Amino acid sequence: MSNDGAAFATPAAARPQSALTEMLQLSWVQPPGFTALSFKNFGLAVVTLGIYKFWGKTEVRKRIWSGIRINGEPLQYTGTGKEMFLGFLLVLAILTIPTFLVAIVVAVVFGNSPVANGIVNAVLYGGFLYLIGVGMHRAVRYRLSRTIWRGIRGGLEGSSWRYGWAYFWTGIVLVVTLGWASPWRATKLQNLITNDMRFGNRPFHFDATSGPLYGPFAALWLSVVAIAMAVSLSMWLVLRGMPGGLEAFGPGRNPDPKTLFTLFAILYGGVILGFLLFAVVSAWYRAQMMNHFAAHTSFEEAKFHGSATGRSLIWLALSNTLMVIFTLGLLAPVAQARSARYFVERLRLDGSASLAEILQRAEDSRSRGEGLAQAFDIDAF
Amino acid sequence: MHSDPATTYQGRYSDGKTAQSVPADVRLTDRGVEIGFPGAPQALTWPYASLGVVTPLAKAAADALITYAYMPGASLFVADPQFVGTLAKLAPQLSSAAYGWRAARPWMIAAGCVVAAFAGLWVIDVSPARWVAGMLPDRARAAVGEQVIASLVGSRKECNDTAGRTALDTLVARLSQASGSKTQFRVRVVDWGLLNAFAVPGEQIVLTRAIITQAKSPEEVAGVLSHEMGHGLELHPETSIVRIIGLTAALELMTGGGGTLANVGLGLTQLSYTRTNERQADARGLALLEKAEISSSGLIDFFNRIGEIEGKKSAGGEWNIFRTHPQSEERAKSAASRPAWRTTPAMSAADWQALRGICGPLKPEFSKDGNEAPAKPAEKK
Repeated sequence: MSNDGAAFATPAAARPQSALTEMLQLSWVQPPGFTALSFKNFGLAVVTLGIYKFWGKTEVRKRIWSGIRINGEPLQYTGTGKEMFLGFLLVLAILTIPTFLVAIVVAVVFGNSPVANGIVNAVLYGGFLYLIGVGMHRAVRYRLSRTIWRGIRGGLEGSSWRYGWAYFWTGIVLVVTLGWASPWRATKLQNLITNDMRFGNRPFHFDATSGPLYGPFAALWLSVVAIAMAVSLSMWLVLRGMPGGLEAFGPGRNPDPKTLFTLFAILYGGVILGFLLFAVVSAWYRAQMMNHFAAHTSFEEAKFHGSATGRSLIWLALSNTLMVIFTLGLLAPVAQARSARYFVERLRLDGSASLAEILQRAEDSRSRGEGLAQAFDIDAF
Repeated sequence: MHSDPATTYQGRYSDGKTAQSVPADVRLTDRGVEIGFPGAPQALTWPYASLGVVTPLAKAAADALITYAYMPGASLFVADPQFVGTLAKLAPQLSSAAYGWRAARPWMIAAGCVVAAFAGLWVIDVSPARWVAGMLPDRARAAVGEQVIASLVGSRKECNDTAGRTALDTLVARLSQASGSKTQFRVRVVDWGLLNAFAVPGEQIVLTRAIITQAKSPEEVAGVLSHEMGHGLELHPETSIVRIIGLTAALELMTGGGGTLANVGLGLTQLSYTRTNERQADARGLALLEKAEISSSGLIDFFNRIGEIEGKKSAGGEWNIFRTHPQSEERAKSAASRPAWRTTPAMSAADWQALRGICGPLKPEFSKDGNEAPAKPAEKK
């Protein structure tokens, strides 16, 4: 709450005549009632066989947006459940159902032919990779066009097909380079999106290069290899030291249950331990990346500054995941609000903007929201 | 609650044309929200009935962002809990209680309709899945059946001893003919120690080796076959698959994808037929036996024996015959209560010997619990 007062502290400076520029300040004010909203959304989604989900998601966004404050004044989310539902129906009609039918027809015509299935899968997954990029761009565009601050809309310029293509071919490069293209790709995609972002008639700027990310990425990549090797090596050693050793698993053998149990305990233990280690290292890398990207993002005279840390990020991810899993998704809105809060509180704006010169942008007449992104389940909030 | 024109609240007003906001002196008068500007003689008045909010006024809310129907784009933000409380009473349509009920009502009605539709279907005993299953072309049913067999049987080999095959084919032809339908059932025997038999789409049946080797007479095999044919003639396998696909799609819609765990649970609940299905299959099976002039004693003996095993041990795999065929004894009783008919042996003694050897020379070491027996017991200590 302390942030609210800040905008009112200097009434004279905020007067239209005297102040052409205003310092920008980002803050979070926890909106009330997320738990109650979670129960309401879950209950209505169940009794309407899921149809309410689109309206529920809209309610959650309205609250989250209202918690994000710039100079003490909240963002507004003006999207509607109907828009999202129409987007979903459109994708269902032109993508989901045809894909499903193609899969059935292929199964009926070619049966279990590995060649036919391989070709169909390659085409489908290639198409999906492309459409995921398109869907991400459209989801951002929809959200920005439905985001308002002081009556002024946000927006995203640029073609989502072009972004989808960049997403597709850099994805292929990512695989070919065994992941080493990851920092380059992330920077390139962030560049495309951020430079297309608008508030009113003014653009955002992004000028990061991927160079500084390669140090942290090398550490991540090497530790993934090291973790995988350590897990397999320790499993092999334990297995070798067991009564009967590797021989116990030869063809026609019947390994005793105790050996099997120990082996599975080690297997799962190793995988879980490896996963936790990976989560720690990758959270650290993601924090570095977020801060790097923030530092190279600006709006007018204001630069962003990120202060994410690996430790706080992993706590957020872990606690949110557990909260959502153990409540079967019921508390997802609470988890989303926590994520939003984290990002807002870890992001600072340094500098000012001539807000009186920022004019309203034309309304985005598209009335369907995010169908593709929902089909691929890639929306965060 | 009366208006409170005496109190002046500090707010911020945006006209929605530029991203600037100006300080405003806000009062809640009898006529509406009065917005005055320091140094300016004219004040705006927004009548309560035409106010709007993006997020409804919650009891615990510390601030409010309000809009006015006749000045699109303009907004007023007041960060004062007392203002929120008073406004919620003067403009009750903005309160979250009113808003929540207004938003939820159409959904409650929709949910009521859905429940009523399901109840209606249940009462008039119409299964949409059965209806869809009946419309599938034969070729599609056969192809789906092949897929199901492939996934059930895995790498186990099919038993094809020539003499045994001939004996089985003769029995199958006799029962198929009794069904009166043009379709010839296709029955396969799989080298599998699990005691089970499945009907799969496209008039196909899979018997396990254990069914044949544990049967005490050819009449028992004929009984099991007639029962599975009953399922096939009633299109039960097709219906379950259509139902699984439909429920999975509904669940995807409901959970927004990623419901892997839930899908597994759903699949397991759908593996068994309903008791009504079993009764239908029994009736059909007994009719087939009667028409083919094969004694139902084998079927009764088989149920009785399974009933005994069930009494001792109720465990077993998901596909275990003990699970999918509940209340064996009760069913055996009802089968025995039918009037006797003229019978001839299901097959000759020589054919029976051949059928028992369909998976190769008989091995004596089957375990009674349906588990796979060790392949080479002689090697055990």
